Amino acid sequence: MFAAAAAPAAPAMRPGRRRARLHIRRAGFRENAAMPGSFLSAPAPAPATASVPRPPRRRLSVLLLLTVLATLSAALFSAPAALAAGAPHPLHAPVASVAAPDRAPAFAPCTSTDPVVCRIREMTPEEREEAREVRIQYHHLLDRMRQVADEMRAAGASDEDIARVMVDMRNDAKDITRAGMSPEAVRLLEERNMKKYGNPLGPTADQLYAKYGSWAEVIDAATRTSPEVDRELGLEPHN
Amino acid sequence: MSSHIVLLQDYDRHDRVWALDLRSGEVSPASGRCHGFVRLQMPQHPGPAREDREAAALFAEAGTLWFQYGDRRWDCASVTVRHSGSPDGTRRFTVTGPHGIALDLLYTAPVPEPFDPSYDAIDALEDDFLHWVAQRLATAGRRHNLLAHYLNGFLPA
Repeated sequence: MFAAAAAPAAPAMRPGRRRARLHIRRAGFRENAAMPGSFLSAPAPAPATASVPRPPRRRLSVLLLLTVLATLSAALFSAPAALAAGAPHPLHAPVASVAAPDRAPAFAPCTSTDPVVCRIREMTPEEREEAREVRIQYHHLLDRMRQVADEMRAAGASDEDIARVMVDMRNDAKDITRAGMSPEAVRLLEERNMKKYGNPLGPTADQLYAKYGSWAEVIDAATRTSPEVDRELGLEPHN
Repeated sequence: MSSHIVLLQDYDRHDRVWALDLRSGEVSPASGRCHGFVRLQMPQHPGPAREDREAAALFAEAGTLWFQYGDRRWDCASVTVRHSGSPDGTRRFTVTGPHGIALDLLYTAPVPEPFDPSYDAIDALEDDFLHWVAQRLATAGRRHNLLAHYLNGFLPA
């Protein structure tokens, strides 16, 4: 039932998956975001090692200890006057007043109906910017997929042939964008996918066909992004 | 229904096939050609709603596309299925028949971890079986495709 059709010429974006992960670094993704069509880059050069002499470890420890003691004593000595003036004790100040301002407070309810959007809203501005850059890269890969699908259709390829290539390209795109994630996050994703699909990157073409019952539906699904995630990262929905 | 057992592929495990007893809604391990998908039970996500605890299945049998939940089942051609989300993280799945709402499930939306910057439409449906069911039954064309495909059956991939 799932007899494989003759595979068309491999699309341009089929790099060695494991090599891609090993060689792409976050800095490399930033370079690639400006160069659609080029998915691999050399690793960013390591920063030059600083040659400034460091103070001896013992002297540094003493300095740190003195700083801490000075801060504590200042707080304790100024407390009675502050309390008399009605101010809260400096050592009992509300935690919220010193919380890092760059992350959304944990108690703020997420108003989105999409849990992935809520997950993005919990990110720091830096994490969000990084996710946005990876998402832009992913959009470039989606553009390439649609271009290949159009070319194959014009050349008379069947829906099954196109769907198989689209699913392979989707999985390659997943692999490439994961190069911007932490090794631990990638490990968790791959473990989940191995359990669910027996494939670290995601469902195979045959697995999707079993669920959708139509190769045309598989093509449509493989090239459709999540508009909610796009919007939350400040991008036009890429559908 | 012509028989009381139908073989289904596990929606969340590629390597598992189950025999669904259509009368009781119970499943047992099996192997062979499948005629649809079954989700054994909703993963327990922290959240306000956890009403969705039964096995749920979408399959074809005796010329009909069925949705089964626990020991109840509905002919997909004669009901309307809806899926929606709320800002508090709950999702609602309803089956409405000629006499009104026949099934109303509230459950906590799955939160995929870790965040995947290339999260797409397939991921969203793969994470939520009931969402996938509602999407597959949304049009007559999709129902027709699934009916023909599931009646023919498929080997687990």
